[in-house]
Amino acid sequence: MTRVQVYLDPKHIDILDLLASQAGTSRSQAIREAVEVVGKRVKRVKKSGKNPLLKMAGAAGHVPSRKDLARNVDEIYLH
Amino acid sequence: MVSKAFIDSSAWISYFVPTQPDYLAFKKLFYQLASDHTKLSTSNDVLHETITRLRYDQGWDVTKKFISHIQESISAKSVTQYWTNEQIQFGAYTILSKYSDHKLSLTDATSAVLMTKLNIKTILTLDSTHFFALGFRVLP
Repeated sequence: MTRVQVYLDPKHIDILDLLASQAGTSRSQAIREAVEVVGKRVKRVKKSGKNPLLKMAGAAGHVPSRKDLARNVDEIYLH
Repeated sequence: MVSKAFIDSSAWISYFVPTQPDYLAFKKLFYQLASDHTKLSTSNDVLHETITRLRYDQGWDVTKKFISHIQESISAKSVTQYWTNEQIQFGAYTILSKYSDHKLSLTDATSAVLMTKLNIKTILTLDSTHFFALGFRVLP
């Protein structure tokens, strides 16, 4: 492990101390665990960004459409 | 967190056409489900309804874009397309009969049969009344 010096706001120190005391561990260990959790979340969001399904959002463009286009799909059977 | 969800035609159209009133709600939902790695599925019947609706009301250029996006998503396994067959269609007739007081389409009924078969309890749809009555959890 590498020694790192960080500056924290008092409110963040309070949160950190609370997390550490609840887990029965040190401030350093609480920081390591928090970084681990955030890192996993960032990876997950990055991975989902490559999902082609997400590129479909609004892909039809701003073409004129009826407001009930999605709600009344069953109208196709009346054509 | 939802592990599996089925996508109905009203959800596809709301998500794809940004001028629809529920577009932002569905966009948020799809992004959330993708982030949660929820297994998303739909059916050939649902895509039939969606594509026909887009074809009739939005024209071919918009429809073509949807087909391209859905094909890419299926190829990438971001969504699974399940196919109905004779057995599922017969099951759907039973549902139409059992819920004859509801205005269910055959596609709604085949969706319900597929979801039951695949143990999917959640559906993305604007048709909350019908699917709620069929015992499913409805999003958004």
